Amino acid sequence: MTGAKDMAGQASPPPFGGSPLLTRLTSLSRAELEAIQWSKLRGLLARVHRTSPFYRRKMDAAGFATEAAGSIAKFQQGFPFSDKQDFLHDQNASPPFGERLSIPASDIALVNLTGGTSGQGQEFYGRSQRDVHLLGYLHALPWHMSGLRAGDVAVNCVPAGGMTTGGWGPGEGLRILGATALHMGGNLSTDAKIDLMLRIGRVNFIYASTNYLHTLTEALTRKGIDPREAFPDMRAIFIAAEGYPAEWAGRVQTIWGCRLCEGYGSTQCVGFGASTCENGVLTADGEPGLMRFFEWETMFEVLDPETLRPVRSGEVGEIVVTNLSVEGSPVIRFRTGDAARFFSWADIADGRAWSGIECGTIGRYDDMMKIRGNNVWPSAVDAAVFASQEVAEYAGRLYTSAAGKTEVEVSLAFTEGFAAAPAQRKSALIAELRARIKERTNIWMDLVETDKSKLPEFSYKARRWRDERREGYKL
Amino acid sequence: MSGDQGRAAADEARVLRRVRDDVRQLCRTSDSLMLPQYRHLLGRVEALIEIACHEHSGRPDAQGGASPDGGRASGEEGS
Repeated sequence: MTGAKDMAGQASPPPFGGSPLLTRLTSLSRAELEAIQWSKLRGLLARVHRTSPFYRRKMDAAGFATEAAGSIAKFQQGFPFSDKQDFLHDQNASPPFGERLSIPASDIALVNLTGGTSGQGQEFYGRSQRDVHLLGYLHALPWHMSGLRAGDVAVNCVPAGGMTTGGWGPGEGLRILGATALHMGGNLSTDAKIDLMLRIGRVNFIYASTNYLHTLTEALTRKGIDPREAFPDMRAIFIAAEGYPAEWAGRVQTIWGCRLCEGYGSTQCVGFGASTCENGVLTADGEPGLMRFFEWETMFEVLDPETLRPVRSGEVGEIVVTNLSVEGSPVIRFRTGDAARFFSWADIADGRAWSGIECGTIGRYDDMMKIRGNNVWPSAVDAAVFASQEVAEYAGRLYTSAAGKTEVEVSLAFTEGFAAAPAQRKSALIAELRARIKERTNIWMDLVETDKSKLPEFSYKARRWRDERREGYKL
Repeated sequence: MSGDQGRAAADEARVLRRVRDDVRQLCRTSDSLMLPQYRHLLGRVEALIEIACHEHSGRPDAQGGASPDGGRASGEEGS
């Protein structure tokens, strides 16, 4: 356990000890884990070859025969990849679910769409009754591991319901976990959420995007409310969707007096595919911890996006997902476009056969901005900026100057306390942040102070960057 | 209701009650991850008994009396 437990002054339930099922999973050897994977995978491949023309065509074109493949290694060498474009093309040809749907359309109990934030189009997923329970389970599992238990009061700050997996999963997850759920996301302002949480008092768990937890924490601080006093029963806060610096995570744990936990999930994973374990997002030394893959439900590969070969432990690569327990619209070797630093189970060496990825550094390959020949990820700027507790929020803008040069402007909003600081202190911090951004991105950016109210507020995934370069080329 | 319909309904009720009793057994688990999921399942089965058989199955009824099935199995209350 981390010091966060001590800070909270209350004992969190043991993440695995209370569940014989989880205890069994933690004690599997790698060979036993891979035997479960292969058993599920073999059944899935046989089924989709029979029921899904999309996968049958792929398998036949690649000359892939499940029984002849005979092992996970051969599957990973010979089964063709899919990506978002493949799925969109399939859907356009056979609307709305595409021929990758591997159950009768009449058996679909829930339709999920991807968020559409990529701008390329939304993928359709048909979920069977069994899939809907799995969707809930793959939210409940990491939350159980983070300490949430039946009867606890859980606040969900992610907009609930609608068409997305991320909107639907938390409701199902909290329901099957037996927690008392308050779905506050999307329909209440931050101030209204705080008022409601204060009225409830005994809040044990919060689920929020990284960005929204920052917003909520900043708002509480601005109101002079100490979360440790206001919510002394908080067991854990669970974040997802975005990267963050370790310094920020440490501050959040101190401010809230509880463990910060993180999960990696997606529509393609039908919920979470990985999460932190006992230690939360930080190691005892305050370094980024690990999220471990739930490899008995979902198979993960982390590959070099150029060579499509597995990265070595400690390297960053693209996450490739294969569902092992999904019926409706399974994904098989799906290239997610998510970038993560991979750690092999063999190198983690804690007796568990589960590989993992580093906390706080999940990024998107398609979020990458090409700036003056450099590859710049928003998460790199997030890490530089939010390492300073004086920063409340920021927004970035790329534009073309009158001279035709790409310029980058970062508008910074300071916390209420620091906004009133002497100009000299603020200038010094801006210079420090500028150097820190340069260190992480190789780009000198122009930093300007702005008022927090002038920056957009995000209730889920933050979109802090605007690329206006093309507008600069208009005649 | 015809005789056949009556027999079919009785069979359905019998199966549902058997499923409920089996799920109640599962609810005796001490596994903190599985127990709430079994309770969730029990709630669904109890609701189906209510819907299909017009028979209260679950918590004691509003008058405070025990249900015909004796209420919930031990180990179902609390966490």
